[in-house]
Amino acid sequence: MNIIETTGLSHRYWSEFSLGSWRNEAVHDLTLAVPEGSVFALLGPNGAGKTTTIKMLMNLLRPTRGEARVLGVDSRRLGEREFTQIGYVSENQVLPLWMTVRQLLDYCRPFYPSWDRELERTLLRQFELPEDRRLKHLSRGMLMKAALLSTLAYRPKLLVLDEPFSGLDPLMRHEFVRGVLEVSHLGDWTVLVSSHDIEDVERLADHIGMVENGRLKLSEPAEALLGRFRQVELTGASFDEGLKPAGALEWARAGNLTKFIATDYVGEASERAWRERWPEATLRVTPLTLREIFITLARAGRQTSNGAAA
Amino acid sequence: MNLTWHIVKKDFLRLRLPLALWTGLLLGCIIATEMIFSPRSLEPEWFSRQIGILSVLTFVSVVVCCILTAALALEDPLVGSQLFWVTRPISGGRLLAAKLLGAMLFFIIWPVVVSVPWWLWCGFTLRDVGAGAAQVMALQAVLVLPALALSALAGQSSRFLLWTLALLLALPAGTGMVAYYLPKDLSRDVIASRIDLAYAVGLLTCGTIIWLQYRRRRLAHSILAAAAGAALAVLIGFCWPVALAEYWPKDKSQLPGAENVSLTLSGASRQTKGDLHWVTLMFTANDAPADVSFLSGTVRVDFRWPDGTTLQLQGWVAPINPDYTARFRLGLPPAQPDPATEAKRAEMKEASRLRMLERGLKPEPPLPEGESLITHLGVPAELFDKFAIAPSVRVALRLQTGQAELLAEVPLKEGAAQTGHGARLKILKVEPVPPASPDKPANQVSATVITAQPTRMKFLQFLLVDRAHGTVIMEGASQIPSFRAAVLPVGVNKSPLRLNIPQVWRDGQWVGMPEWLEKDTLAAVTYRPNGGFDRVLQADRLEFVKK
Repeated sequence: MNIIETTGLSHRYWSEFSLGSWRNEAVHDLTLAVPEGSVFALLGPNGAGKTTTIKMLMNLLRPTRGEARVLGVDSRRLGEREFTQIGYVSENQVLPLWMTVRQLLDYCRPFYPSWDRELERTLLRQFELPEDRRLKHLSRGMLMKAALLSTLAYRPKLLVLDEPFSGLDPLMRHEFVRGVLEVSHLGDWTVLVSSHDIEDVERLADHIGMVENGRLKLSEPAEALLGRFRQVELTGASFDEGLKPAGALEWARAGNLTKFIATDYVGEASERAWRERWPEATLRVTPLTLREIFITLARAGRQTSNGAAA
Repeated sequence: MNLTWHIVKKDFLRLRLPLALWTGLLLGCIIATEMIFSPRSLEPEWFSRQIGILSVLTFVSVVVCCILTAALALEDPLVGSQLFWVTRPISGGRLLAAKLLGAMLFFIIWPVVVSVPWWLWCGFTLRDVGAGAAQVMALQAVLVLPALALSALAGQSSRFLLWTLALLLALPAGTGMVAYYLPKDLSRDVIASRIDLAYAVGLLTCGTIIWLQYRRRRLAHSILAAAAGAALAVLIGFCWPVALAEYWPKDKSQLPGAENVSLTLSGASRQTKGDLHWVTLMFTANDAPADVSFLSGTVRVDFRWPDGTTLQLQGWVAPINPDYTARFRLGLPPAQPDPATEAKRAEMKEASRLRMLERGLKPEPPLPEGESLITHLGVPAELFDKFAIAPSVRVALRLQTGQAELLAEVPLKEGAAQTGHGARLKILKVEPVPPASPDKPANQVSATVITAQPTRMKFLQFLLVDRAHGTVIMEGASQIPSFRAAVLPVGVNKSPLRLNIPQVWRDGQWVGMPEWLEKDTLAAVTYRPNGGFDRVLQADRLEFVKK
């Protein structure tokens, strides 16, 4: 079962500076499914449309076209009942900064029947948050932790983290991820986390979605993604690009070394096909990290859009 | 409800310090008004300065109230895509309920709570407190509603301030534009209806914006509603054709016992002065209940002449001497006239009548027994001469009645004060008025009186009461004070009174009544409306005396 489903989701916004194109499309025809129990990383460069997508999911923005269903409910009709099961933390969210950490928790608690005081205390200890300090006096990392605490304490069914790592220094990022990882075993929740940097989420995510220029490029389990991407090195001769297999990216030659990235690796069968295509070459196939896949796809997307522009 | 209340408590926690500041301003207004009862000086400059202080305090408290209302709304803003409350289990309806409850408690009920002890200190009755509370709450609601609507649209404080400023400039500009193009002959009732309706549309638009923003959060729709409301208000200002007062339900209640009142048409005259022509009708009322006074009324008169000409006139009717039931309220014994003084007055009256006859003038007939009422009706110039011939007359009257209420009665001494039933009175100063010439005896004293009463109390009458002789002398009204200030619903008036020393005839000369200053008291009386009655009078032929 999917916790989040979108169909043809689009959002246009008024452009303040562009008189020619009076409205720009931030998200275009996005169809996405986030399975229950997954940690879904929505990735993409800055301005790709991740935050707009999440804001539509959270009913902070209205879709101009298409539909999103969250917990089985149209996102435009999300009400009090649904939000008792949804936790949302965003780098952009305007928190009541005049409150202390304690006041924030005291304020939020009565709204959630499932609020777990014990979990609240545990998280307070883990996150090392000063209870009597006003939110406006907290560092950015501490502020995000406070926001996270106020959403985790009621064990939401769906946790949505929109660029939670932005503006955090590496140590803070590490602590935040550790925090999320530490609590992930405390509940049975689905997590949707957006980021422009794969490094932040590669330890967390089991599903990956990639958005670029408002369009969904891919959406699949991380394991499948890792499985079908391979770095292929051919040594022994110089091979013409005309022999490049379909779906190969970043074809490069240097002396007698030819490299490309295969995007449809299916194990032994793929390697056998390559050996048959280049019988004189020595073949070396190595897996890619999620970060390498992300960079490859981002680069390929940029080349496509540059080509289209040219 | 618990969660709604929870949001209200959060807002109170956030606004408690500014609310304390605002409460301080409200108390400041009260203290500044209280200072008027113990002025440092009786010079007009001191009172002017006090009015200045009060005006500034009132203005600042109004501004702070609007800003605090906006702060209450902007604590959980409605515009933007980064709102905290939207992603929490708080529906728009719940937030709206919380904000309305908060606004009601902080800005509508709280000022009443702060003021009630002061109102009671000023002698307000429970009825006055209720009416004052309603007045303050209505006024506060009129302030709060637009501030709430504007902040719901603005979404942030800087934009709220900018838009408020723009609105404050646009309102008089729009009103001025409409006023400039209004036809000059438009009736006042229609103009009043246009103003009332435009205000009503404004408030309704505010309500609509608030509802739309909190329930739907569709800024474009709300801005459209605001624009539609503004356009409708301007359209009403230009085009509304009907006087709403005509459709307003009129008081048709009949005062118990009114059927026993005899009302007769006791005189008619016609007069002209320059381009003005009018007729005067006099009525005499008898057998009214002892505690009932005639306050005012409306009259519609249909004239018909033998040649078939008809004319209908409408106007107001008012009593000539409205204080006669005050005796009843003061519980005075029947007046005990001084025989020598009465004999001298009768002698002087007769001498005056003879002098007028010698000069060929017709002396004024004595007023008939009973309460006299009078109405002056403007007559079109071309019909004025018709009144030389007696027309038949049909008069339809609606008379409002009231009961005299003694608010306070104090000895005529400096510093004498009393908090009575519905008002508070203090005599600041009493001093003799120097006679017009040194050879004449002083026959007046001046008294400076400060009163506090509900602003809705339209009429406050001062009476010089001589309980020893059972006489009452009307000594001016608070309608013409030298100083007036109001911190709603308390109106404070400083009234300068010229009190005529009661004169008696002794040993061939007029002298001030012995020991009058020590014995007489100053009473403050008001007349509270208690109903009215309708009456139709007819005369087949009514002669109009030319004056």
